[in-house]
Amino acid sequence: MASRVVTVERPPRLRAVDTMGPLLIVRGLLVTARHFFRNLFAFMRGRRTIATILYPEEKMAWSPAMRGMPVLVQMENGKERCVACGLCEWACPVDCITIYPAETADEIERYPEIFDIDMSRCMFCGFCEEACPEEAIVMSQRVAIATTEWRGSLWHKRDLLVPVHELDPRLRYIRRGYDRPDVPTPAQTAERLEKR
Amino acid sequence: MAKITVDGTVIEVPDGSMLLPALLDHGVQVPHYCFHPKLSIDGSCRMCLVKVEGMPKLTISCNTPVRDGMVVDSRGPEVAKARQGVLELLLVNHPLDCPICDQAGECYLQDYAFEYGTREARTQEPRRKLLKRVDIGPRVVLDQERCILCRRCVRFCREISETAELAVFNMGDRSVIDTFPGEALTNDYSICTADICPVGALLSKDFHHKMRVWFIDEMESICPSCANGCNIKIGTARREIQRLLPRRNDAVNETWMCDYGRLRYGFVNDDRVRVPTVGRGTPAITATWDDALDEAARRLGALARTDGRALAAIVSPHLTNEELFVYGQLVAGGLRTAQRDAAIPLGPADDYLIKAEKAANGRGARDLGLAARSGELDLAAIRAGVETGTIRGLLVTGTDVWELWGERADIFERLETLVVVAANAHPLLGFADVVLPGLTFAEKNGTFTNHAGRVQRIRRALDPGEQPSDGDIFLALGRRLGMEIPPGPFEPAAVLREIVASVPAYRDVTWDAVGGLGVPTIEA
Amino acid sequence: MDAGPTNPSLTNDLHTQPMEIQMGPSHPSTHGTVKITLKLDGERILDSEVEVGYLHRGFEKECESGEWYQAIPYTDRLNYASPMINNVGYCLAAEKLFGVEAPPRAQYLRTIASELSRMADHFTCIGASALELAALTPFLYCVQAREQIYDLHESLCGARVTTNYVRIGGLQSDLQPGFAELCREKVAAALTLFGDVDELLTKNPIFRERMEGTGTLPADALIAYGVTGPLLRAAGVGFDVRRAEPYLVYDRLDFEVPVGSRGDNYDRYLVRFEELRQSARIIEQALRDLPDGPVDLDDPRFRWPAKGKVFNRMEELIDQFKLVTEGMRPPAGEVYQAVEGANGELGFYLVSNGTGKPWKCRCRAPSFSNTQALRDMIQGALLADVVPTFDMVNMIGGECDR
Repeated sequence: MASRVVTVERPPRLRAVDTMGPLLIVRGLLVTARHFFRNLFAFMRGRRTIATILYPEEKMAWSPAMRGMPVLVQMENGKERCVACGLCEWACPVDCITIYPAETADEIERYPEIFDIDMSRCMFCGFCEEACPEEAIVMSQRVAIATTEWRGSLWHKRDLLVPVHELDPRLRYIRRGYDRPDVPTPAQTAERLEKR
Repeated sequence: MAKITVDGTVIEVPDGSMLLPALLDHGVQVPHYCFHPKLSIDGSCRMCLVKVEGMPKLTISCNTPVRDGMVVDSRGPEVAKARQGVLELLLVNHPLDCPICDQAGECYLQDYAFEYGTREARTQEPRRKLLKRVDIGPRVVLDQERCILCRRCVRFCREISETAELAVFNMGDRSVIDTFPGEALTNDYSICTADICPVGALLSKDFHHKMRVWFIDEMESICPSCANGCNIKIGTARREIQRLLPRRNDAVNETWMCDYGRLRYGFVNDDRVRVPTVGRGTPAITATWDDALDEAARRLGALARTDGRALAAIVSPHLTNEELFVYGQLVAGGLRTAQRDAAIPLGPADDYLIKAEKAANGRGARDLGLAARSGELDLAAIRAGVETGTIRGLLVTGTDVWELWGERADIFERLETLVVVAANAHPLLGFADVVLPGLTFAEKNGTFTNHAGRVQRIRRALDPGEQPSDGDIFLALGRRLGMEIPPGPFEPAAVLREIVASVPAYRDVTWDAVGGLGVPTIEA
Repeated sequence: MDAGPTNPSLTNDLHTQPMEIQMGPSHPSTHGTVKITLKLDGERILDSEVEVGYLHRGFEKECESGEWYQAIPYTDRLNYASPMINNVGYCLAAEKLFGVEAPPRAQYLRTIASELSRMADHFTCIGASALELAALTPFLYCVQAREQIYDLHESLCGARVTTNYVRIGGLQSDLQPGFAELCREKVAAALTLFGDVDELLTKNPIFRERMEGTGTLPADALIAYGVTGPLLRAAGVGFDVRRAEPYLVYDRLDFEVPVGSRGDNYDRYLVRFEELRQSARIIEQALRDLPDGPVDLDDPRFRWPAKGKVFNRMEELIDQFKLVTEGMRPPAGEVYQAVEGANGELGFYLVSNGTGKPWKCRCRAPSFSNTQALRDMIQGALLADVVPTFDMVNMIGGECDR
């Protein structure tokens, strides 16, 4: 066990003289002044030292890992990649996705006639993206979706389609996890199965 | 009975039966594809391999007769390895169709691969290319790539429907299922092939791409479409019926049902009458339940008090036994007439499951005395009475009487009073003075009696909400017509007890007993 | 300021009545929704009643209606100030049902994630406490320090607070490149900011007068209430689940468990302060020792297959379908797994009946037991002492009420 129990040190007992005098105020002000002037000069020089950004003129630059609202991938030919398999609908913990599948005459015979996401229920957990076997629904970086009426939070398929080239960063991010390193070779798998 | 040992436990199985059905009946899980309890033994899938002590190689349990003293191992490493091998070979050529295949969720290949399979693919080659979405029949679609060649469909067409439209063509690893040239899968039980297909090779066109199986709730019931009373499961989702599936009942329908009954459920979802209306003609005025019932009682009561022969009642063969019993009491005590008959639609029949009476409870209506007996006015005579003007008021349940009387608007226009209890929009409702919405078979609990006298349970699969059941309507009308009816809702179980007490042939029937596989009435 | 009895003769002569006043559920000086009904004699508290449950959302019942993996986003929302720790606790318990352990890399990453969340929670607690004692600047500094931690959360899993990072059998995803440098940089920045908070608060006489000597409860009373975490450690009891029942990789890392001596609010503040530094130490060691390898167990009984294989291979596609729709099916049984939450022992008691949905998912919330002790802590104290005491109890509503 490499952990120890250590008693914290309390500073010496408070004396009356410690509560008096301007030194206390000065000490506190030194801290805040340091912050103030550092931030001020940095701002004047155009650099940032505080966590606040001036939204909406400045927007956050998120990494591709950021999970915003789910969107449907639109292929080059304008159609959705989704085949209405229903896994995202089932994986969603809050049941915010509604899919009505239908048949097409194309080679891929199934597509979602209706694909609705109730964004007022969506909790941005990302399970729909994880469950999808077709890379058809991914989390975007869109979060500014507030509306003034409740109907505005029901997103239909046409609102959810995003062209695939716009989703490139996210797709590249999730593809890093597509093959787990140290995946056993077929021989190793066979050996493991022998032991099962 | 033979005693065999299975995985260490001794069980008793019938002499001469095959090992697989014996094991399955005892709840032992043995994966299988080509075996089906109602079809001949094929032995082609090799999935049901088990180890029988004394036999040098693993043996297929579907074609191994039981012997007293047999020792069977269904879970050991040799059996597990064999199952993995069979599954791996099946999956080598299986297309990656799970996201678009309807069978996902009830697919034997998925289930067994998850339970018994290798779980890690060793092959990634492109799959063989065969025909997909083959239109082999008006109600069934075939996907040759998904087929695992268990041949259940071929045997079904040969042995059950006896039409033999399907066969296996080519040989070896080029085998495919297809219809004979120039033929289509048109038999009346064609969708049963989609039922028994363990994978998504044969699929019902009606259910194609409709709804994912894991969203569907199932409820046991009886098919309402003919007097055979096939046992079914109603699959509901999103407050609608999505499909009907047959249920096993060896005394009635084995494991099959006909396409006509299977596809006839739209009337539960669509064109429903949900609110009472008063006033003849279109559009009729929506009324409250109390007002509509008052108006109906007023009109019928006026005729009931003055002239018993001015009223007649049409009995619907779609009502449950309990509703019919209460209806009978209403007709006798409230309408005070003996003029009643059942309006039973007829259609083509065959020598297997399809019966001529296209309603589920014609026999029940007759057994409970609601069909005209000899000497009483039957349906044709009632029509004559309306035409001559002797009968001036009708209480009609169901709408089949419209077709049975030749769709004659003039007959119904002659009536002074027409009260209709129906579930769906229908031309007949345009002639009614009062329309009272009824429920369909999927929304009520009760019993039907099939053509052979078997009493079977239907169960509520959809919630009708605030809408009262037909039985409640009859009780309410009865109370308004001066009958002595104690307060309280319509309770099918209690009414069944009254039926059992008053109809001798039904004396063995109990509410709990009918809930399983039905109870036969006693032939007088 | 010691709490003492009122002067009885004064009360008798004046024929006064104690005043009943309600503090909460929304009160500007208590962060969290809890109702404290106080019976006051002037400024002194004669009696009080603490009522919790305002944030009850049916977490345990909700878990029963979904699959095992669908409960993970709900655990985020238990102690929402330290979400990763809840994820880790639940997934460790579920893995215990199967009797498996996540791969080493995943264990180290889970440790880093837990400690980051612990830091975030302590920043929130100390910052909000300072705010309620009218020290507004330290609150902003603490929040800015917390922002650094949230940036790290986001780098790990894509979300700042509702992380949903840990999976049964592994993690949602592996690290992004450059995470180690980013982590060191941000943790250092957070601690620097906290150095300023230290400068403003720790020796500040106003702060010390409010916090020293208030809210004291002896250790045996705390243990009787089932209090754990910084509250118990401030009273001198060195109980930490990471030491008592090591999980993840804590038994391989060097760290100190700070305890206090007097058990008052000031000790609690100092203990949390020190825990921040220890968390940073643990993170540094874990980053240094982070092994390579997969972050997911390739066990098809519960972990969804690698997506690349789901696209191309039949068996994995089938597995994906079965695991998503029917869920993993652990053997029937029950397990209890405790982790050290920011407020104390966070335990998950899972009961499985062999199906894809949990039969019961009970969460042993440290805040719930801790809040029980609040009444005794403020008995006989001044009204103003309720504020620092309640702050240091750090009742997180999501965790306390589930």
